[in-house]
Amino acid sequence: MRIPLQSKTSSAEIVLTFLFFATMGMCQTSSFKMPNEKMIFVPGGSYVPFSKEAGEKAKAHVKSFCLDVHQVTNAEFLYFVKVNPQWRKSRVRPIFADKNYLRNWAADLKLGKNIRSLDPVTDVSWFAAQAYCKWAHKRLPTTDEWEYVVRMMANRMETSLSMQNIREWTEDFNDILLDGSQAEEVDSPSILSCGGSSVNVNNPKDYQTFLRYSFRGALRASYCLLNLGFRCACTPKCISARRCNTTYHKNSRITK
Amino acid sequence: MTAAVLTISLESAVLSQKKAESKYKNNQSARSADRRNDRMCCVENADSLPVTGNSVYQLGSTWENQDGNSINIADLEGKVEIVAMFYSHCTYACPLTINDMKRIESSLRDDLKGKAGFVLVSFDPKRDSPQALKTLAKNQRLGRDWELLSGKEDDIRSLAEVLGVEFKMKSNGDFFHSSQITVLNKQGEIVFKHFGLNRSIDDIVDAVRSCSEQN
Amino acid sequence: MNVRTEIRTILFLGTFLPIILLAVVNSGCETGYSNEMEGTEDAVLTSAPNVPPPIIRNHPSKVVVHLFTKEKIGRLADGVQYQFWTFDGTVPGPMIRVREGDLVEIHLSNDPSDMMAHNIDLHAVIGPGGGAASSVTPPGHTSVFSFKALHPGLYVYHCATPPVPMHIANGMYGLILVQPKEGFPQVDKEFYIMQSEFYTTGEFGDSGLQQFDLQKALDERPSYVVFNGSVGSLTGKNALTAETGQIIRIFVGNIGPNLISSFHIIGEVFDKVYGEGGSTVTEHDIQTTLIPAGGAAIVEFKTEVPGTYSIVDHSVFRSFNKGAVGQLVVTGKGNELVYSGKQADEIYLGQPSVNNTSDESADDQIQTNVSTQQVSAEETGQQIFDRTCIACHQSNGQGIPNVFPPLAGSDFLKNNQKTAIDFVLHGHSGTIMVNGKAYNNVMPPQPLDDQQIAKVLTFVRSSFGNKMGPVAQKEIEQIRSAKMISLNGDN
Repeated sequence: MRIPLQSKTSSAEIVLTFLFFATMGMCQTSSFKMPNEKMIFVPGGSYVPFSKEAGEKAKAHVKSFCLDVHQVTNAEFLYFVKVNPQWRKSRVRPIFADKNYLRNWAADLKLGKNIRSLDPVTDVSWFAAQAYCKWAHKRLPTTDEWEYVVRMMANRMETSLSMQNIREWTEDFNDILLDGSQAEEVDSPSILSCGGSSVNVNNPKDYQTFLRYSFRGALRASYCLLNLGFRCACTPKCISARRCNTTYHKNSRITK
Repeated sequence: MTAAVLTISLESAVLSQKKAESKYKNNQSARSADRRNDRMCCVENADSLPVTGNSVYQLGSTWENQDGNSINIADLEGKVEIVAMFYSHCTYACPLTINDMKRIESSLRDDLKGKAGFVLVSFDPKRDSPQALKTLAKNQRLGRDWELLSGKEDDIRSLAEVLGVEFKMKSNGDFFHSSQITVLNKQGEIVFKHFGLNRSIDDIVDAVRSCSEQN
Repeated sequence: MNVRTEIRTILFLGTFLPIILLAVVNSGCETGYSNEMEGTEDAVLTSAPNVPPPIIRNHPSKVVVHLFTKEKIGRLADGVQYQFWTFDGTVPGPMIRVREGDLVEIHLSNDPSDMMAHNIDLHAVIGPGGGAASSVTPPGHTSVFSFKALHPGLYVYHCATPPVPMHIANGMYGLILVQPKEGFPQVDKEFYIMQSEFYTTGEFGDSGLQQFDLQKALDERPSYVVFNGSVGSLTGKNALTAETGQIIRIFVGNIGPNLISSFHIIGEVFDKVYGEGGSTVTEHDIQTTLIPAGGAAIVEFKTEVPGTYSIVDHSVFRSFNKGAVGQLVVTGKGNELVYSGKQADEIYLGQPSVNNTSDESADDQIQTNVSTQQVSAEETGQQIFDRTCIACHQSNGQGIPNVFPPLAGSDFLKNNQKTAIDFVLHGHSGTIMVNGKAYNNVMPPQPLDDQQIAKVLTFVRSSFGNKMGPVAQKEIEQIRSAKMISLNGDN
C-alpha cells in the first residue's frame, strides 16, 4: 500500500514520539542500573587462617567460587530497591536495618547530588546486603572466602578485583567472638580479647587482618555504616569451565 | 502506531507496579491496624517503634520441629516465647542453657503455663534432624510447650543475627557460640536478653511474667 | 549509785560505744566527708597540658563522661603529618578527673567516618578489659558502660581493640585521675603531660604523611619519642609557664607503647613523687623518676629561681634527637643564694706540659698535656717551629701587630732568655713590651720536651735575622725542675 503524503508527516510524528518516549524512558531508567554481571573465578585452595582454632597453622580450605569484580554500586542498589520496595529507605523494617540505612540518599528512589551512582553503596545492613545478593541469585562471600582473596591480592595472585577503601559485609561476619564476656563455652578461646588476641591467632604480626576481624566483630547485622558496603559471590555451576554465569537478570522478581 | 504501543506498554508497566505497591501497602496497614490494638509490653519507648518493624517473625523463615511438622516462625506469634539456640552435640553450655530454661518453666506460676512457649533452635541442621531433636526432647523430658527447630543454614544465620547470638562452626563440626536466652513478646519483639549460664533466673522470669500479664 | 548500776553502765558503754564509734567513723562524720552517693554531674574534660579543676565535693557522685574517637591526619612534627587515631580529636586524649567512690558512666562514640572499631580500657576500672569488653564500638555508634572508681590514683586509659599495640601507637590514650577522698594538697599549678612513641616508615624529621611502621614497633625502635603527641608541643610558645615560688604538680603518663620513661626536669628536683601514680607520696627529693609503659607518676616541686627548665626523658638521645623535650618557663624574682648564675669567666691555660724523659717521680703530680704527634729524633728546630709556633708568630717570626709579638729582632727575646724558656714551658698571660710595643695576650704552654724546646729556641734565636746564641737542653731542664720543685714545695 502506498503511503499517502499525510502519512509522511505522521511518520515524522512517529519518530519524534518514539524519541520522546525513549528519552523519557531513558530519564526514567538512567539512574536505575542493572547489576553488573562481571565476576571473577577464584580457584579453590587452602590458606593459613587467622584463627588458631583448627590447630597451629592448620590450613583452611576454600572451594572454588565466583566473586563480583567490584562492590555493589549505588546505581545497582537503586534498581534493587525499585523492584523490591520493602527495602526502600522509608519502608525498611527496623529489625533489618537501623536508622542510618541509606541515610545519605535523597529519597527512596533518588540518590541526590551528594551520592555518585558508581560509588559503592554504603549504609546498608547485612540483611539488606543478603537480600540483594539473594535477589541476584548470588550470596555474600564467607569470611574465609574473603580472607582467602585478600591474601591472594596481597601476594599479587589476584589483580582484577576493584577495591574501594571501604569495609565489606561477609556472610558470617560475626563468627569470631570478639570478647570472652558473652561466650560461655569453656573451650572457646576469646580470640580477639585484649589479652588473648596474640595467643589465639596464627600470625600476630598481621595487623591488617586483625583490623578487619576487629571491625567485623564489632558489627551487628542491622548496623548501617558509612564505610561499609558489600559485594556478592556465588558457587559456580560449571566449575570445570571456570565460568561464573549468573542468570539473575532474566529472572528478577520481587522477593521477600 | 508504534508510539501508541509504546505509550500503552509503558503506562501499563507503571500501573502494574503501582498496583503491586498499593496492594502491599494495604496489607501492611491492615496488619498494623490489628497490632495497634494489642498493647506493647516490656519495650521502652514502645510508642515510637512501629509494631511490625521490630518483630523477629518478619523473618518468615520455615523450620521443621521435633515432630517433623513444618513451622513458619511467624506461627509462634500470640504467645510469649523463650528462645535459645543450641546444638545437641554441645557438651557444656547447651545442657546448662536447657536446664536454665527448665528452671524458668518451673518458676512460672501455673496459670502462666500455656501462655509461654519455649523454643530451641539448632545451629546444626546436619546432625540435628527432627528425629534427633525428638530424641533429645524425650531425654530431657521437654513437654508440649517446647518447640525444637531444625532449619536451613541461611535462616539459622539470620535468626542468630536478629537475636544477637554469635556463633561459628569449628573445624570439627562443633560450634563456638554465645550463651543467651531471649524473651520475645507475643508480637515477636525482643524484650529481654539473659546472658550466661547457671545464673539467677529471677530477671528473666520477671520479664516473662510482665509480658504474659499484658494482653 | 550502787555497784550494780555502775557495772551495768560500764558493760553498756563497753558494748555499744565501740559500735557507735565505728558507725561514726564509717559514715565519715569524723573525717568530714560522706560515703553516700549523691548527685550526677558531667565530667569536665581538658586537653593537655591543662588539668580539670580539683573536685571539692566531699561525697561520691555519678559522673558522666562523653568521649568520641576520631581518625584524622595531624601534625607530628614540623612538616611531618601522621594518620592519628584519637580520643576527642587530640593526642593525648582529654584528661578525666573523678573522685574516689564515684560511679563513672562512660559514653564512647565512634565517628561515622572512621574505618576502625574502637573501645576503651581505663586502668582505673576493675572489670573485664578495664571496660574494653563492654565498649567495642563500630563507627557511627555509641557504647555506654559504668564502673565504680574504687582506687584513687593516676591511671592511663587507651583503646584496646585488637591489634591493641597499633591503636596505642597511633595515639589513642589519655589520663584519668581518681582523686583520693581527702583530695590532694592545694598547689599553685597543675599540668598534664603524656609521653609516647611513634613508629614511622620515614626517619625522624622526614617530611610528608608518614605511615605506621610495624617492624620498627616490633623492634622497639621509635622514630619519635614525644610529649603530648607531637614534637614541640611543650616548647617555645607552647612551653608551660610558672612564677618563682610556686608549687607545681605535674600528672605525667607514659603510654609507651614500648619504652619506660626516666622523667626529669633539668634544674629541678621533685620534692614529692607519688610513685607510679599511686595515691600516696612515696619519695622525696627525687631527680629522675621512672614511669612504666602503661603507667603514670605525679611529681611536685617548688620553683625557686627564674629560667627555662627542660622537661626530658633522661634517656637523653630520645630528648635530643627524637623529640622528648618540653619546657617550663619560670619568671619572677631571682635568688642568688639558691642559684647565682655565672659569677666569673676566667682564662684557663690547661695543665703545664711534662718532659717525657725526666724523672718519673717528678711526673706524679703533673698530668702531661699530651702531644699525639710522633716526633722523630731527627726533627729539626725549624720543623718544630713550623708545627708549633707559626700559628701565632707567623712563618717569618714577624708576629701580628698588636696581637702576637714578633720573634724576629725581638729585644725581649734577646734580653730574657730564661723568661722565654719559661713562656714556652708554662705559657704566659699578661702584658710584655717587645720592640717598644705592648702586647697583652695569652700564650699557652707548649707540649714539647726539653730537647724540642732547646731545638726550637735555638732555631728562633738564629733565624729571622736574629743572631742570638743557642739554648742548651740543660737550661730547659733546670727551669722545668725549678718550677716542679716549687710546686712540690707547695704540697
